[in-house]
Amino acid sequence: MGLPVEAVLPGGLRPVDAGQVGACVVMSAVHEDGTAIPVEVSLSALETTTSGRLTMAAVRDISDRKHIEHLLQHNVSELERASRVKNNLLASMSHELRTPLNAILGFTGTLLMKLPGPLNAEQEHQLHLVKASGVHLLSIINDLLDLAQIESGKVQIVLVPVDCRAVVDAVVQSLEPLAETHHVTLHVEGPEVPVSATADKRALSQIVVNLVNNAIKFAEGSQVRIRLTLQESGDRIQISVHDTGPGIPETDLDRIFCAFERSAATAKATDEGTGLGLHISQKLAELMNSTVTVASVVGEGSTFAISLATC
Amino acid sequence: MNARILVIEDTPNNMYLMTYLLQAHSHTVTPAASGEEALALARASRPDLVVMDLQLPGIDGYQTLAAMRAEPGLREVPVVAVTSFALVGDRDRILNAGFDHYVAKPIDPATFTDEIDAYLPQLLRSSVPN
Repeated sequence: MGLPVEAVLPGGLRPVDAGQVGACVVMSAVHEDGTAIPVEVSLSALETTTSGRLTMAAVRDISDRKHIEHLLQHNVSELERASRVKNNLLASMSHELRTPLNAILGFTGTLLMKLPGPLNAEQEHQLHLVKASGVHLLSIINDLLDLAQIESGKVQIVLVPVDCRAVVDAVVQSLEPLAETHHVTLHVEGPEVPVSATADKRALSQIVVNLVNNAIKFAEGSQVRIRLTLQESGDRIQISVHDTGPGIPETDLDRIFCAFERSAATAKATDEGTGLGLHISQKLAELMNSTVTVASVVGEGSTFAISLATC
Repeated sequence: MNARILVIEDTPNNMYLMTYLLQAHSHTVTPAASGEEALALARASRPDLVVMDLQLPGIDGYQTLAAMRAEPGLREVPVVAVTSFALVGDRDRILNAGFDHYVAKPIDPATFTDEIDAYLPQLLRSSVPN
């Protein structure tokens, strides 16, 4: 230290000319132990009354910074690689899990269609059990892959104006057949005019499907009300799904949003569920800056709701 | 009237299933275990429709489709992808690649043949089995 800049610049480098005053240059310099180190040279101009213009040079050893930059760069590319591997893993998992199910469900189906020949009543009953279990396994696989896609950030959420009434009507239409098999009637209440909310259409549909699906299973033999409520101020709309099922004890209300957790009081009604529907719905709601809320009275029923900003 | 359907599938169980269903609906099935084999068979005798898995040994389903679309004799043959790739976005990717239709595995045996039939000329559609 205390030497002119040129003294620490390695041979072959020209001293910085006046045109680069104010610039900041990274170059290689010779350390006092003789090794080459990266340095940052910054220049600033000083006007003096006696000697005219002076240039001040600051030479900073940036070995540590360079080392950290290198480490960061390495970590980023490692992360990118891991994320690619994870995405490929998801695609492979989906493929590998579905391929054997194709034969299981496929041949159960051909047997039940009696294509190879007649079945006795017991065989038919047992094959229906194989089919129902296969379909259940498929929905668990689908939900797990959905969840894995959400958690790996692979689900693209596009927040645009979505007509809530149209989403609800489409969901209700698609679930009518399920409701019929459970002897449940579906009622939609609320403004029949379009009400736009800021949402991702696919995610919102999936949430409403999950909520109505659950409600149908709990409401066996009665009705499910899906209500659209515009807040008085008009800046939020709530979509709520009310069933007249057994209700959920207060101690279980938090747990039901966790993966594979079910309320003991309602476990029987959710035998055919995957235990992932509410968990996925909550994750999707969070991606849309919202939450799924629940209110329930044991013996009277439950209401699940999602509230969205109107636009 | 029945159709001649070329089925490309490398998993024997799944080949058996699709062949069984299509034959039960009185179609004639030519099996191929790879894209290369399928192209050779299709050139020798033009099928009325191709049912294709996407993950295949050798060239994959996308490449097999591209090869068919590049050949004047095979360009017009309808091609249906039947695949276990069924994550969000896969359907669009497959249809954008030029497949006429997409069926996700596991297939529903009750509706599979009807779905395939929709891509056959009216005259070649299957007779429903009794």
